Amino acid sequence: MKTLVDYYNEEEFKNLKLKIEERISHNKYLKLSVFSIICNSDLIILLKEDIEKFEIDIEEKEDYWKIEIERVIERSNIDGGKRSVSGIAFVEKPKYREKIWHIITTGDLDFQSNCVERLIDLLSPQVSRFYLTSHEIKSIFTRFEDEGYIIVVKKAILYSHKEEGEISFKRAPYYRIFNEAEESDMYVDKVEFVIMKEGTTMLHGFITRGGVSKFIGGDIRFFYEKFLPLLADYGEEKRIKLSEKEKQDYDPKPLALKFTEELIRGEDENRRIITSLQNLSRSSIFVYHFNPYLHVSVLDFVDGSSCDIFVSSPDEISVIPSSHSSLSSLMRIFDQLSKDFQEGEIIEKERKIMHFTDFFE
Amino acid sequence: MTIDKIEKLKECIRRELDLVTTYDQYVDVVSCWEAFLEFSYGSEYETFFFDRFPRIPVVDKWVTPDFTAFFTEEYAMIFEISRTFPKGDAGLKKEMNQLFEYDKDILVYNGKEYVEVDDYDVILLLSGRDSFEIAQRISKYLEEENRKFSHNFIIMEYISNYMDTHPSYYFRKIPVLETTFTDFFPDRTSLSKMVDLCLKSINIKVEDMKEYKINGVLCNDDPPPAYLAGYIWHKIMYSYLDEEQKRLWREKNPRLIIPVEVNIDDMKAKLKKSIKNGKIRRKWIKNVFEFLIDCNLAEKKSNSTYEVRYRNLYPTIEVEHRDDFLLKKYYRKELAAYFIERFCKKKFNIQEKKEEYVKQKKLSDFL
Repeated sequence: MKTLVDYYNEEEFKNLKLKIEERISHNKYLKLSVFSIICNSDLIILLKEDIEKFEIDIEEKEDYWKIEIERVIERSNIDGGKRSVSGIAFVEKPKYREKIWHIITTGDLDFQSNCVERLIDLLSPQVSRFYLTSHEIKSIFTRFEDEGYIIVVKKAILYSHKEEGEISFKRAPYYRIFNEAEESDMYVDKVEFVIMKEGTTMLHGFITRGGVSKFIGGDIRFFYEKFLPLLADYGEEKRIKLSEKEKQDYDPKPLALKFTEELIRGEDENRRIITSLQNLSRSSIFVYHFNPYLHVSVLDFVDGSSCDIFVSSPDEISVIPSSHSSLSSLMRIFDQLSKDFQEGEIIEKERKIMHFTDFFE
Repeated sequence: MTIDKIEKLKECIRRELDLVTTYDQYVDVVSCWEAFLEFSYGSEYETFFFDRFPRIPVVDKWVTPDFTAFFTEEYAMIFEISRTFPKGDAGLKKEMNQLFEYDKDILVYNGKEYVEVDDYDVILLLSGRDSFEIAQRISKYLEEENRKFSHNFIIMEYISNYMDTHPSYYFRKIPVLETTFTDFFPDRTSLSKMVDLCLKSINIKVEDMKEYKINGVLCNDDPPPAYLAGYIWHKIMYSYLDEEQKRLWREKNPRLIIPVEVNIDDMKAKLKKSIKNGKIRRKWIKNVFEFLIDCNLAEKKSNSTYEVRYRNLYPTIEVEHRDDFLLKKYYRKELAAYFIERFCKKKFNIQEKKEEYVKQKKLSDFL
């Protein structure tokens, strides 16, 4: 279902943003949702390709594109066997981080999940979503706090790394949410927040671990110029780390999820890591070795990527991409391990040089 | 299903999984030595070559030690790994005869060709479980049979360290025989000094050998079909799909089967390319396809061609666990266990509860 915003026809993105801000300020149910994604090539060229069951019309404006998307969903459990979902999205020409694109829409949830998210999914591996760790989300808020802003969390949802279950918060200082997550072995999944300065709401927003953010109110320029660039920085950091990691000429480029503590102490943790990988959607695992160390091969059904995962140190999980291993697949794996096992930092492993005497210590 | 059948099924699954585990440990041992020798001597000896798949021509046949290391035309090492030795005298004699085959001035592969080497050592690597007992039996056998190796014959044991937070493999000499390594290397990298004189263990962390394992994948023994099938399924099969098949395959459809015709020689070439210095035996691949037939995941088309029913095995391999709170949880089964279960069920003629797949008839099916 289209909203009034979808009929705006500004030439410049700054004017479109202001009109969106104005519209949202008059309609408390309207929100601007932003899907931040990584695309190493030109997203618009990809969208112009024939995508089955999708009709996409792209209108180029001065510094952005207006994109009309329609998807036909055919399923036996739908009345008449099919239905269509359509809406409008806008994409600003990337300025700050060239490979991080923000797809924005005021469309409803049906359009967001069945059209936009499905489209992003289908464009994989050329397009990849990225995740934000609890620490990264917290860092975004800390940056604003350091600049004298006050941050209040209106709602937050935390999930446990180990068990099913969640904690919901209502109105709390932001650090309390993140401290609670750390102390309870949980990760922050969603936060609705308000950033204020001198009694003025600069941004009433929403952010998810999956890289989706929302502008609910405040100053849209602040959202675009101050908030989204911080989010894009974390996407860019992961893009650089996970791009072009395919093994070439038997020269692997190992990565690892590094923890600040020695968390992996034996069989129980190895089992948890396997379980985490078993939960990764559209993939299969092959266990070569289980104890005392873990060696698992993961095959990603999305694009046939594969990698080997080793757990042979107490403070890291090694991920070694094979000769066919995409950024989006690696992102999915790191995301899964961070959720179901523990959050850590993605690192690129340096080649270790060993000498004869090192083996006799 | 009768209790007898259930027991047979369980035993079959346990045995097949055990083969996979044992083989993987052999691959580990080979990878450890490759890492140790390459790091220690790779840059010092330009001609150094580690052969993971030796098949050495001798009169009228081949000998196949588990791996060899060529340093120069003056020195090499020949390795054999044994998890255990047969109990009786006849079995022991057979094993020893095999080791004596390696003692007959065999050639060593230098990365280009099999060449003569002035001197080499023969090293037997035994699992630490009963290494001393086997070493004693060997010593007694050599004495009683009055047989002697003309090359240095060294027995070492390997032990996987379960206690350390950095898992590793230890290799140490069993000083039952009075033989030592050839004193070939300079003092600072002398194996003889460290292992023979100082009786030091070689400690190789999994962390340091894992890249060698990934590049080597297999060892010189026939791989259990489930092991190689898993590797092929994960790393090679996808390359057989055309663009349309790739599009179909990524659809979240557990029932989708993509029939892929695979020629053994073509698969052998692909597998060889994916493994560093890979020398793959044709029969290994044939065994995999025959195994996949038993798993109902392939069909024989001709002597050299099979049709693999490639599928993304998604929800069909869900398995039920109970967590700490005894709540039911569903996870996907790992691939080796899935293959083996299908294989054993076919072997004992145990029917699946329901037909697990429906063959795709046209491209638009299941979309």
